[in-house]
Amino acid sequence: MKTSVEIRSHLPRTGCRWWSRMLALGALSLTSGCIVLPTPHIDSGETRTNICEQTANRFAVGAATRADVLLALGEPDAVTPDESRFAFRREKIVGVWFVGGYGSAAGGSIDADRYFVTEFDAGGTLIKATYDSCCVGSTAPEKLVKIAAAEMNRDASIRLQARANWLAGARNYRSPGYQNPTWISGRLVLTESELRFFSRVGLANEPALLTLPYMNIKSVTLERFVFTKFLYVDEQSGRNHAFQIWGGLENGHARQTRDDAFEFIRNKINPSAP
Amino acid sequence: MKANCILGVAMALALALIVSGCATSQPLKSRADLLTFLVDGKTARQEVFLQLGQPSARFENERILTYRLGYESKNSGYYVLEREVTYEGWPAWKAANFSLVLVFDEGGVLKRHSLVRVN
Repeated sequence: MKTSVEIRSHLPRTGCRWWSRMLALGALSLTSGCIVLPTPHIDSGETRTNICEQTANRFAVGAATRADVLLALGEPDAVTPDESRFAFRREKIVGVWFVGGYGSAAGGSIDADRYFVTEFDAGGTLIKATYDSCCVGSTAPEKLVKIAAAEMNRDASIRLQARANWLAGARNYRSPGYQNPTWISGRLVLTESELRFFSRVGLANEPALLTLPYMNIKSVTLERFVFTKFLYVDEQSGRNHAFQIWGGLENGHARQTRDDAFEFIRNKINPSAP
Repeated sequence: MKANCILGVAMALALALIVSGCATSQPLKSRADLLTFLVDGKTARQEVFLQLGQPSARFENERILTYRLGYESKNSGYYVLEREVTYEGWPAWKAANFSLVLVFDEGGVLKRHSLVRVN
């Protein structure tokens, strides 16, 4: 089994899209009244600070376990559903920007992430530890640890995974069952036999908040409410659910993913429908 | 003259009340002895749930539990915090300074634990 310790701090990095952000910064600096200043790299105060380039040297690849990593670094910031990969994130301020003119001004910080990612085998032994730094910006946790791929490896019956918001027990704020606030942000997963929803607040290895077999679904519709379309799922019991789909978990346009989800569920509950 | 004197005293009293309100300190939410019950080889997992509530994360079928803790220097005490995430989905460690990691054996008894300073 190949094991490795890597320290990567070079560019480019496809998950970071550093070039697009640098291009935007460059274009921004050329506009009138705009200043972009690099600063010494300091912690933003919003994330952990207990990882660095030397963190990987603390763990023996091939010997350290999940418990060893957790006891040393604490709760990870992202986890795959099968716990094969942990990610720890540190955010640094690398610059500031100011825009001013005509009596008004705005400004902010330019942030960059550093990640320490560990990979474990099926027995929970460390096989890889990587420290990675992104020049500017942040990579979404589901992309960094490849949650979608890990979920597919764990459950071969998965057919679609999407970033979505879930409104439980109601269709919208006008519905009788609506209680404010109830929109939950997370991950919608469609398998061959059921619909699942996982909260984004919890780590990806936590159980689903909603597990709904297709046999319990009476109807599914795609309807416009205000400015967007929602996927409405009505149970045989009379309970309603609304889903606002933002896009595929790793890629995919929101509209296409939403339409695919609608067609898939409709075919599951009524295979003979056109 | 007498009315001016009374008015002056009343205003001084009102000002003193306002200032004392500003000086009132927030009640402490931490406990210095929150973690003293944790003893390797003795503390049961159920006791942990009773004392600290639900953990913020679980691993290996609850063989490993983690809690996010805040810290108050006034009484050197800790308090349990819920997990919070940012808009991008990453957890925020602004309020939580520590991560308590608990590893249990097959019988549900605490085997090892550590209090990790996260930021």
